[in-house]
Amino acid sequence: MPGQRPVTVRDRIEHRWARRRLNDYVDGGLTARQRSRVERHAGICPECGPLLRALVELVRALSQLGVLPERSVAPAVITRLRGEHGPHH
Amino acid sequence: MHRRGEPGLEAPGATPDEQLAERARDGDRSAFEELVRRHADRLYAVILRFTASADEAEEATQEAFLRAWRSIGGFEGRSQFFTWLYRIGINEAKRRVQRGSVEPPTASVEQEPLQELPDSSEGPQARAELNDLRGELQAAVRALPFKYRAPLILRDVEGLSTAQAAEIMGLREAAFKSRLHRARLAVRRALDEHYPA
Repeated sequence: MPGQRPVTVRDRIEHRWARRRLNDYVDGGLTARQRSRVERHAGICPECGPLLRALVELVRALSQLGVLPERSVAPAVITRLRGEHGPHH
Repeated sequence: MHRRGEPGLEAPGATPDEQLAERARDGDRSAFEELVRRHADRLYAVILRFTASADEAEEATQEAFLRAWRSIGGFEGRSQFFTWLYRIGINEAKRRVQRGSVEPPTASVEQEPLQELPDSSEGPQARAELNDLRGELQAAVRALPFKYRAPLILRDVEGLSTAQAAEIMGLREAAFKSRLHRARLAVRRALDEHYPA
């Protein structure tokens, strides 16, 4: 694009490095230094920036799906267990 | 429906799961019943993600605990009790999926570029779309093949650590993460079809 500096070999290396670590970034599996490196790259990369935001949004949305039943299933499980003999070894 | 706490994190002063499991191994049924009270509802919620109905999920949960009770002698305390239990539960869910419960069309897990979700700050229309998002998200997760759905459920929905979830699946962490990452991409791609850029 006009006005953009050419993509260098170093840019491509950085892109590959960061692209492979986006999920680990979301999962908190990077060191502070690695996190900063991913954030710096995502801040300027037209692919990694949106992908990282998409992953963060997705994981946040998924975390809202987990809920417990209104009525506990434990009593029915216990009733069924009481019909069983002792554990087998 | 209620939000859930962490499995393996007992209330202060409560007997640790592993001590109850040891007593259950020695035949103490009441100790095992306490473990049921602690873990049944959350295990049910996990299994529900794989079954065709709530009734089937309840039955599968009962089966999982029966299997756990019958094989409690095999729990040696090398892992947390709940990861051992959840592994039994996931295997029960997998059996039901393989037995041919009605399953929606499976989503592709091939890698393709992603797009962002609609911005919630953009007004009423975007907010209405976000209200639909939950339903679409549930459907997209359910469309995943079992080997990708399970990691996503355990890690991203249930909030287990990578180590815990990988242990439940019987996978090395690297293999688990690979499946999880592909699952995330597949779900995002399914959502992109409903929220095109």
